[in-house]
Amino acid sequence: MLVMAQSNYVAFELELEENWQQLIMVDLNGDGAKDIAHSHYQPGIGRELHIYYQSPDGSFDSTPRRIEIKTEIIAVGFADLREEPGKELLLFANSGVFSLSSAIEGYAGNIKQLLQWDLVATIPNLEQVQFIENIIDIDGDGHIDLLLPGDEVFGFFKGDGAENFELISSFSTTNKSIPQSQRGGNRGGIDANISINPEQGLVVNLSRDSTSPYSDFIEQWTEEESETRTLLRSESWMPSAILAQLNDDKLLDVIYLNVGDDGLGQLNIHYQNPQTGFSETADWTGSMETRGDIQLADMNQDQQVDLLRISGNGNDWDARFFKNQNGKFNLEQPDQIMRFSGYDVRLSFPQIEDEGAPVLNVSYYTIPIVDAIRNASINRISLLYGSDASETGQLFNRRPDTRLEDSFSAANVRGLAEQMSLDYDIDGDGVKDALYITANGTLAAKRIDEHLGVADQPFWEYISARTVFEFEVLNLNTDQYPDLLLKHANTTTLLVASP
Amino acid sequence: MSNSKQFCKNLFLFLVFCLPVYLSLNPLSAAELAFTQQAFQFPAETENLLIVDTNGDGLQEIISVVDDTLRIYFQNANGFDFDAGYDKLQFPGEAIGWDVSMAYNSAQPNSASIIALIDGKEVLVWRIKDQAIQNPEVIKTSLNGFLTKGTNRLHFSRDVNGDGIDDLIIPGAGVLNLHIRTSDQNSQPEYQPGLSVRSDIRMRTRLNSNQLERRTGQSIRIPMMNLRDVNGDGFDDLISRTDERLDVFIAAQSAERYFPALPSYSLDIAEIEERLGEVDIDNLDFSNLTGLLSLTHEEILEDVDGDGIEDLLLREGGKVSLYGGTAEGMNFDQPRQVLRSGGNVLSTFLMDENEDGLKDLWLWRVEPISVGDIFIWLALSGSIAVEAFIYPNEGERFSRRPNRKLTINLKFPSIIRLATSFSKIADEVQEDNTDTSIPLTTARLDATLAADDLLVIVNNQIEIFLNAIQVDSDQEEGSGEILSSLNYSRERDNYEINIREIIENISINGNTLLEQVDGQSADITLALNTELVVGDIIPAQLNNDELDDVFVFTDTDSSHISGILLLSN
Repeated sequence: MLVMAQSNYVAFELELEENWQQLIMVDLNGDGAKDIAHSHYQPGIGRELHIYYQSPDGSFDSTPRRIEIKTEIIAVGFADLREEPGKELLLFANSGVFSLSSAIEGYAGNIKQLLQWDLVATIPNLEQVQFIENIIDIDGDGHIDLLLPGDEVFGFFKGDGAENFELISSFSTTNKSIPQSQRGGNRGGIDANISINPEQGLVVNLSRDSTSPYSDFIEQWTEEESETRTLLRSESWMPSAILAQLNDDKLLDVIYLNVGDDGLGQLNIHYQNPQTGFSETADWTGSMETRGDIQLADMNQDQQVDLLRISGNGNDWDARFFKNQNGKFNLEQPDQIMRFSGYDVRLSFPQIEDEGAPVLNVSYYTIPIVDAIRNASINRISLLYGSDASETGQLFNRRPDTRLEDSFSAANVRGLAEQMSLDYDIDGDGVKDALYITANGTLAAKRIDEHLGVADQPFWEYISARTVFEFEVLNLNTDQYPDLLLKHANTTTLLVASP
Repeated sequence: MSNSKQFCKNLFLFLVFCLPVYLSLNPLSAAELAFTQQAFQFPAETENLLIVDTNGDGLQEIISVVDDTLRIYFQNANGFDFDAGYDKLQFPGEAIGWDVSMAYNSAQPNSASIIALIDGKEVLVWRIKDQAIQNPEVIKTSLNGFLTKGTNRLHFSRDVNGDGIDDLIIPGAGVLNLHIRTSDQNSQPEYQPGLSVRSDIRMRTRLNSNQLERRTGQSIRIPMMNLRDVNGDGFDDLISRTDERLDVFIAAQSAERYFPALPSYSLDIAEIEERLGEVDIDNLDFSNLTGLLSLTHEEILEDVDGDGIEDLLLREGGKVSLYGGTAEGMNFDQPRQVLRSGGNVLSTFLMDENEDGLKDLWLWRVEPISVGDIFIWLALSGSIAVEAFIYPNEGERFSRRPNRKLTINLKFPSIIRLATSFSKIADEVQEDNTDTSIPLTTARLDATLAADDLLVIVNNQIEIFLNAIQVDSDQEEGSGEILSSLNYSRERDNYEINIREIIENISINGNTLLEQVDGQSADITLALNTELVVGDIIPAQLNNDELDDVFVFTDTDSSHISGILLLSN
């Protein structure tokens, strides 16, 4: 069914002290419409969760419902745990997890301890609530489960749907067979030493940071130094365990990157076992180069997560693609390497059409030097690579199917606020659209055709009273019409489609 | 493990590690330096070693902490016995903040005690007698502290009021609780009521990540209290600066409470920020982006009128207000002076310009910068003029008008060129990993103070270059340093900083230390009989000869950190 992009929205403008803080869209009262939740702090009162409930007409309450977040709470998540409609709050303290309904006033007779667990974080930020997102059904039994970072291990808790959780397995993402001093994966940054002398003025000396695990190992105590030091400095970190579908059993597995016995990067995978959860040691490991930016993405739309490493600097970048081979990777030989010249190179893998072929979207900036005096500008390049003519074993075509170039100068600088996004279908026709911020700071969309061509002119534009800097397309209710979140400099606008 | 098995194990370790090392580390040159060599092993989980004298004999001990257990390796005339020559204590509780302090063992001067805050609630001290850790003494209970789980260094015992007795600084929830000790070291510890001061705690927590390279966990940094004498009475006052407030607590040595329960004076920084307003991009003047500087503010506590009491210089955009400090606080009734400057005021600082002993006001302005300028600078070089207006100090206040203007022309290449240059330099630094992987250090192995010695591990031997490294003299700091970089003089008003020249002159140090001994032969060479797997060399002063001793780390595996200690004879 073709649904035209909306021109009518119910707008709700939210003005927060910290406009760029995280907003959680979650249905807390079970009416099928997502409400807005955010952290709030006021001296003398402390931390609160502010909730703006959505009404059936798409508007939001003008004043928030306020829930006190007690000082012991380190983080808050949301999941449907109780029989009552809507999601409950999950409260993470340093030694346990609790549930709390937002529908019941206060904590008494409301809060329930779900499990005991020593969380990796032990001190709450008393001015801000940390949110834990993606609390999901991990084992596919229809009930919410939890993968929790703890004291040196991650714990996998299975839920039974009645607020009971059982620790099934735990594993460490830290390689304990190497000394603690080497576990951080010290790659040796650059140490800059700026000195000043009257003859040469400012002199900059650069050298590699020491990669020695003993560089801060010995401290000679002196009374004077002790008095000027930081009162407390404490660090407790471990490689993040990421849930992703890595093999063909439809169960979520765990992947993480740590330091191997050889001191190099090591990719680790624990496959999920329906009965025993995750094994204590990794089921598969592979040594990998960790320079650059490593990302997980389903590049070939086979529902298994692949691996991408982007490395380089300045305006020369290499992207190396590693295809998932049913839960394993050949990390010595990338399946495809692509090179790009530009600044701020970003890759994404939008699914332009439902059931469509894989597509690679590359965007970056170039700066034309010729003609700079007459017309100084910056160009934004967007490349779309299809996969219909890719070589055997490779993922994407060697040459882009589409190349878009937008030029920005002082006159249209607002359009640079965010890169063009191909992740959203604004008109609900089953094909993703190219959403972008215009030179006037409004949001507009162009159509993408079956050959990955992007239309010259937008078919839709939302003109807001304030400049848009960020946007997101959401489904804030049960209708099929896309809703929008627009971030301005000091406020946020939520637009719920009103056909 | 039985005693006989332990003995056999120790004997084996001695034979495997100590004996070969002793045999192989005899100096190969004729130099007179001599060391006693001892092999060491620490548990692999050891995060660091603290060197301190715990029993007042002038010989430093080595303290290591693994999990909740602290070990002290005692030193005697023969050095250390790393296998059995230690005592240990197990901290109670789950959240431990520990430190060492010289203030808790009056019976044995100059000896450090171990002091620990347990679960934020009580403070215990362990004194050391000879080579044994004594039972703990409870120093303070019923505290309302907040600590991270695990065992961490916490510098919480220090003399705040200058009476020679350590007080306690207990981290709480968003605050620091200060407990001033009223009793002397020989008496039962007694403290004044706690003073709670807001603290600018820096915290980073990440509990769920979907990015492979990001780690999960938490880091916390609590800055030390800022203590200095602001009213010139000889006693340190307490300055608390957070994003919202500046609070100053004036010390009263003879009062019942050293610090008052409420600040002697405060500045509401949040209110200043609210008054100045926030960035409104919709109404931003793209032709003068530097106009945003009108939203900035500065608070400087310094003595302007030379009476020994710090005054307050408050800059809000281009408005500078001077408030006079008093012995009791700050006279906020009326500013002593208000100066207003047009243009884009970047910053202010106080420094004596005319050499009359009084600090003059330097007000820095920057020319308007537009979005168009930034686009041009992407591809072409440019320059920005920064001007300093100097308002001479007339005693009570500054002159109403500046008597001197400096202009600094900041020249820079295009942003593309800058990015390319930095990327090339970063590549060169990263590729130049040959020298930086060579373990080396400077140390003072002989009595020559003018130059340091260089120790390098090459080809499984330690090469020592005596007096090869010149000791740097101290450099000027702060605003004086900035001016000296310009080759500043009172006779010259126009200066230039050329970023292109600075980049062209960036030196990439393979290793400047090695360059200083290039082509020279080592004065002493010591052969290492052990293969260097994960090696490093670190100096420390352990015995009482005022010369450096040297830790040579040779290997680290899943169970131990191993190496050789060279104790200077």
